[in-house]
Amino acid sequence: MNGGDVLLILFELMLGNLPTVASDTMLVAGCVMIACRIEKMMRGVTAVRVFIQHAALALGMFNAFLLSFTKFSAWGTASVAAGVLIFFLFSLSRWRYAPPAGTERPRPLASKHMRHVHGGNRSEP
Amino acid sequence: MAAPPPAPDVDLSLWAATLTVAGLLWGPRAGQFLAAYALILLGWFAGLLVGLYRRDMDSKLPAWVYALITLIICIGVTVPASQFLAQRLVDFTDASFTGFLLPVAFLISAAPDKWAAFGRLLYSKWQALQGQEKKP
Repeated sequence: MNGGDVLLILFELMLGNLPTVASDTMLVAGCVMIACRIEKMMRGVTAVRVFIQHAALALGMFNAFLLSFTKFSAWGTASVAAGVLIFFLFSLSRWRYAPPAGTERPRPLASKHMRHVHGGNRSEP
Repeated sequence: MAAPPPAPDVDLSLWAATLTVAGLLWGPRAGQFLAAYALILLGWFAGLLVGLYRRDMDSKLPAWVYALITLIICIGVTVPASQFLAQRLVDFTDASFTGFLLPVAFLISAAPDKWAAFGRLLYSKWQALQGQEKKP
């Protein structure tokens, strides 16, 4: 067996498990993105709840990635679902009564507010 | 015209491939090693997230370097450290060293800026022990 044979086996393996390879790639990308977000968080400044939300999501995805290499790969979906569920459970209070701040798109300002932004007319008393 | 011969019955799943590679590396006990290293990787990633959250914002070390260093240390150090702990704690718990893999890997990657403090503590303990030996 030479290097070409090994590459051929790897290619066959990838082709035979294309859905798993695709989901694993996306899971790892998601884990990296969440790790980058967590790196921006500051202990003592960022709410612990936000950290737990992201950590649960990332751990669910990483666990699913690991499980895909075992005979328990069917549990990977449950792992990701658990992460997503924890993410949403920790944001229940935030969404309880209305969409939280930062989720509304900018609306056109009323003329009264527009005048306030502009600084008012100099001729006005 | 004769039908083509059936394709060989080959399991092409990722699990089969992983087990094959692990079997080449570790022999018949590959399953145990796979489970142990899966635990270590999970502990490493959980600790990495906590470490990234806790570390100083003005740290010069890039996050990916930090992740790589902790991964290498986790893979190399977790098993001997867990065996050492299991031997030391044998009076308190009957747990096998495999029970320490996850927490030890977690602690290794979760304490980025505490390594220096831990080293200083060890050094001071060692110095104290040396002093005790010299006293008589």
